[in-house]
Amino acid sequence: MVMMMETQRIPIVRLSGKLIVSIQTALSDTVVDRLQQDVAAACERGDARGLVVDVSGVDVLDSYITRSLRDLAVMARLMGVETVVCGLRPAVAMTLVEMGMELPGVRTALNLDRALALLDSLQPEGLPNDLAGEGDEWEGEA
Amino acid sequence: MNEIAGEILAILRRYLSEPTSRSLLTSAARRANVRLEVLVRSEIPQLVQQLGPGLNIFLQEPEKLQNCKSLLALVAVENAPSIPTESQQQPSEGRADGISVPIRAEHDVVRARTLGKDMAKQLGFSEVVQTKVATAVSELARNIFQYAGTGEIRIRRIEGKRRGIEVVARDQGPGISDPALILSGAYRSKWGMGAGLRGTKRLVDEFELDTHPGLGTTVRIRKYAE
Ligand SMILES: Nc1ncnc2c1ncn2[C@@H]1O[C@H](COP(=O)(O)OP(=O)(O)O)[C@@H](O)[C@H]1O
Ligand SMILES: [Mg+2]
Repeated sequence: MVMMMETQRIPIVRLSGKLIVSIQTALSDTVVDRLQQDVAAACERGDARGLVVDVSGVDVLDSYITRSLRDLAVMARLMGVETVVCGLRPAVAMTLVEMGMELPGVRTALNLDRALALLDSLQPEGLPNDLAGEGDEWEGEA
Repeated sequence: MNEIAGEILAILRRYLSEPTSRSLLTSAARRANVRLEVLVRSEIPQLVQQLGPGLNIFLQEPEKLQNCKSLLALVAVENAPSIPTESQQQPSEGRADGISVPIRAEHDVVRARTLGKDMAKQLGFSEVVQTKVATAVSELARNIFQYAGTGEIRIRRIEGKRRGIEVVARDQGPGISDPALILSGAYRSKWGMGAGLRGTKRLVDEFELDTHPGLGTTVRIRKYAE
């Protein structure tokens, strides 16, 4: 039997210079990996300033998925695109904290509106370079 | 899955999530010895019979359980010829108190995780406990898939003074050579962050790791209702 989620792809919406990704599906590793590639491709087009990843539809974030999200943000930043993760459910956030896996260096916002506002408030220049500094704990073998 | 199997799935979907419905249907089909791709009407009663134990676990509200079973019985009666069929196999999984998810492919990790969450939900556990159980199951299932290739996740409820959920992840993969190092937090891995097992341990109330290089790994965890 073929499961639907095998072929699922998370859409990336382009909205006034921002990329918006709203995850509404169960995240298999394949789906996450593909999202990373798609975001990279979208960033490469060069006309996006910011990326919002809305995880309000995600009910489980384990270590692999969390790391993938963090990698996605780092990658986008290297391409000049700031990432804000929004909509983290309280239960998911509590679970991450308990596991010792917060999202260091990744900006978070309560909801989509606030994430968009946060992106607007960020200057393209002179951003605090927090990703570079705090990543150590999250790196695999360099 | 053919049209007839689709009808049954549609009934299950009224009460259960998509992955849970599919999972229950698939395992019931295996026990009933029927194939969902070529299911015929006369096989419905034995399939419905095998769905029973799983439904008892996941549909704890008596009214919903009754409704769902009635609907299924209706399909069976309406469509089946009057030849009684005896069940062909002893149930090998989905015993009265638990369910087993074979881990063979990547989407099994998602399925196990969803089942863990659904089961915790059905048992009335809080959203936070549901999420912790699901996350722990996800870590264990992924480890099986990544490092051992195949294995099994068993989820069952714990009755008694302290209600809870027990998850046993078992594989016959390469085993872990230095479990103490991994649990100490000093370990870093390529795949994730080396935080899977350590994080899992922190999420649950009881954690037992039994691993033998070359023979396999068993992790047993328990989480109690808060
Ligand atoms: N079921 C298993 N079989 C064999 N090795 C395992 C298994 N589970 C975990 N391991 C080993 O233990 C290490 C730590 O696992 P884990 O804590 O889940 O972190 P990660 O999967 O991110 O590396 C893995 O890198 C792997 O080498
Ligand atoms: Mg792991």
